Amino acid sequence: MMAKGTAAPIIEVRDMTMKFGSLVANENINLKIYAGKIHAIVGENGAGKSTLMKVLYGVNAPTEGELLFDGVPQKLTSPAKAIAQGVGMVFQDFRLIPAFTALENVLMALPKEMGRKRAEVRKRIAEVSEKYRIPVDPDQYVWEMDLGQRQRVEITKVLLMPGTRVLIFDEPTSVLTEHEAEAFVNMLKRLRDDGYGILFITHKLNEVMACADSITVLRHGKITQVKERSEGFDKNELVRSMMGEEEGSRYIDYKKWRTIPFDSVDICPTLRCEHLDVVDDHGRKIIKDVNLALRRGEIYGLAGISGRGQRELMETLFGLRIPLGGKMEISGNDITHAGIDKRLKLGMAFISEDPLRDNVVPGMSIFEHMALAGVPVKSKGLDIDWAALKDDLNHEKAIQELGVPEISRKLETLSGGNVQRTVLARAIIKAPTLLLASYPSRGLDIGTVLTVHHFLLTLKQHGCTILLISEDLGELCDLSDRIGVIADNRIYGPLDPEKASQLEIGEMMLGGNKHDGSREKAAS
Amino acid sequence: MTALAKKLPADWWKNALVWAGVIAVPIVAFGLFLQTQGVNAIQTYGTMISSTLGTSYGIGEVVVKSTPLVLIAVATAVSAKAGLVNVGGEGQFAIGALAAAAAGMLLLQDVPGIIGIPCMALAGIAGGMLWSGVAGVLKVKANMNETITTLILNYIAVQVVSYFVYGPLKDPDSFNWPQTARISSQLRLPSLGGGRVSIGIFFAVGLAVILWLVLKKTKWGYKLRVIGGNPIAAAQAGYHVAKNQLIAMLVSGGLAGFAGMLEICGVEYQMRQTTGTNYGYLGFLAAWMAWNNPLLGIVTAFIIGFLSVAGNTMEITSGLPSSSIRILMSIVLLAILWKGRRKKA
Repeated sequence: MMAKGTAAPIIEVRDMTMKFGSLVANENINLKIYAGKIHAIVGENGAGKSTLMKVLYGVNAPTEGELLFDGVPQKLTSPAKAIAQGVGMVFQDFRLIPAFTALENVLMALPKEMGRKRAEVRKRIAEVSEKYRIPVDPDQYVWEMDLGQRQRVEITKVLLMPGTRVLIFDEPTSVLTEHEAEAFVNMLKRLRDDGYGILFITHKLNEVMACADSITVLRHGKITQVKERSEGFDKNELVRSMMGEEEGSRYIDYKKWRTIPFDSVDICPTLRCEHLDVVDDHGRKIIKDVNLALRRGEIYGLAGISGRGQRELMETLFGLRIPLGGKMEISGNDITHAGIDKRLKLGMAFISEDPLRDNVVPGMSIFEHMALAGVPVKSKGLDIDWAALKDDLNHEKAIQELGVPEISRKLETLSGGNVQRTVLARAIIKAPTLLLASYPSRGLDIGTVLTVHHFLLTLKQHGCTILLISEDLGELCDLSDRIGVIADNRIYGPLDPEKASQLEIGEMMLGGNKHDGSREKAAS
Repeated sequence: MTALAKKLPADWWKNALVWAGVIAVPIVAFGLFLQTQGVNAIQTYGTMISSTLGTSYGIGEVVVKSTPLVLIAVATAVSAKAGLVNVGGEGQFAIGALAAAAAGMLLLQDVPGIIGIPCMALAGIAGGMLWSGVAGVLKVKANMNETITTLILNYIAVQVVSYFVYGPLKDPDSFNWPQTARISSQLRLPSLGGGRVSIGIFFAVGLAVILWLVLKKTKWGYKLRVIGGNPIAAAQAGYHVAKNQLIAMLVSGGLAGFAGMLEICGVEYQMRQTTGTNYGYLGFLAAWMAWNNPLLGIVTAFIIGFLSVAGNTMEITSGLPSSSIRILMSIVLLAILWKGRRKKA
């Protein structure tokens, strides 16, 4: 590996402890980030990863301990100070302005004198794009971009800031599809080889093992393991130190749950679409002629590169978006023109791809959110019987097992992962007949993902039909009874996940689309 | 980890200290302003208080002034809960008052009060609803910003009122003053103790309490709060966002129109061109000072009512124009908004 072990670290964290009131978020953390090395921090939700990152970026000042840059202790009182030290941060929720183009967003982030040189920055974007293979269209508006594209803008932005020498990535791959994640890891390697110090925060072990030079495992705010690549990485050992001995050995036998034969036909399918034309925000047909018949109690997985119409399809099925043509039915009831309230009554539930944007009502607690979207509530006079609801929720298995925080907490104060748990729990409690699930395990840690899978499979066993969109092909293949593939503005398939390999599905996803940056991989 | 980052509630004394600052800063700042104008601030504050709260007449004036402000504050709060910024209290009040006065003088002159007053109330409410309804329909059908439309409708309302008080509804016996004839005496609200204060204040406070209950303790209130908090979440819960926003807008306009009717039946007994001028904006101010909580809105409406009346005294004692009290009101609002600002994550 890199022979830079002798050089001084760019950043050193010494005996750092971070407390919020009586909560200890980080305890006695020691960490070194070197130039030309990828340092991964892994841990479950709530292990203290984000807190550590915020300390490094000057958002929070540590309660104890110190930060050294090039061996010199520094007090970071604001992100500006961190940036001045060369720290670049790629946030999980990107700090981009949707109404602006990529170029404009980059210009805004740069120091004033640079921010005025439009042509030069445009050139630099092209250079960085080329060098690290980060395809960015400088003139595309951010609101038009999918999450993967937005992330690339964010990365470009950070790379163009003068003096950036350390890049911190907070859960970067949680918004990416399999292919994008692979490209992302390759990009990390190129950045490393170019001398950047990289801190990569994640809970996806495969990616870490593919590229990290050293791994630090956090659990309950403390470091439980530090491993160098030269010592060899053992996935099981890492999992155990992330989750604890007991949790780390959980396992689901997915094959056992696959009870519906691939070829069986349901005369009255839960969801039927005929010749459905799905349109995007610009009125273009993004998926044409959708014909689906989802059988009772099956999980139908949809694979596809992000931004190929997954969101639009789900929104159309849920009634948030009007299709250009075609027909939709739930268990024989025509819902083509039905409102969302009717769809909810017919047993539909929807997990949107962006719960933070779509589901969080500021000022409202978790239990107030639970009363939305068709979870059964009792009345008390003119009001909802909140006491009864709270009581029910506190006994609800989904709430306990998914680890939803205390239900009177305000949802807006929770992390993305906890919002996801809340939204999932709500859908599960509703016990729908048709669940439209977009990226249900996004942003969750391994333990919770297993719990989510278990709940989805249990729902299916009780006759719920699930349309599942996921960026994780492994997850799709594990859970689905059939898999469809979105490519070239159509849905292909279905494929049998028992027979089709992930590689095959991946190639279908790339389709014949010629305007995609990652197409070169299709040939290999 | 953001879960842990949530700030623990500040100590109570810290909170109390902040509140003391919120009250003290505007008073001191305005005092300094008074001093720069060559006016003795302490003396002025003294007369402001003694002349309003020190006499029963002064207290009565404060109540008279506060009554419409309470209702308009509640009206503003209802629409704000649905995510709408309704600055049209001014116009809705004026049209409500005009409708009530017109009904009173044209149709109900000889009708007993027990029937006539409710009819005037209905006319006032309908007038206010008409004005807010226009903005509401433009919002939900044409996606036009309600803040702009309600503001523009205020100006139109002024012209509409002018047209009627200069034209068809002008009192022939008014020596050409732009005002309507007075409504007959049985249509006037009973006064409290024979002064200028009518029983209208009970309606205003009662409605504030009722609306607070509706917003806080009913399914519709909950629905409205979801819609105002996150319309996407509301749509995904199957709520009809547009319909409910329109209803909220109508309720809001109805309340402001009712305030207009109370002004006609309880205070002025006729519509003049200047009836209720600025009440809409002051009521809006009261609502935002109260973070759109109707109960708190009662308190802030009274504070603003008090300041308005005190401003008149100030004009007399200090020689400054009474509108300079607006400076104090604005500083108070800024201080309160600062207190309620969102902590950055």
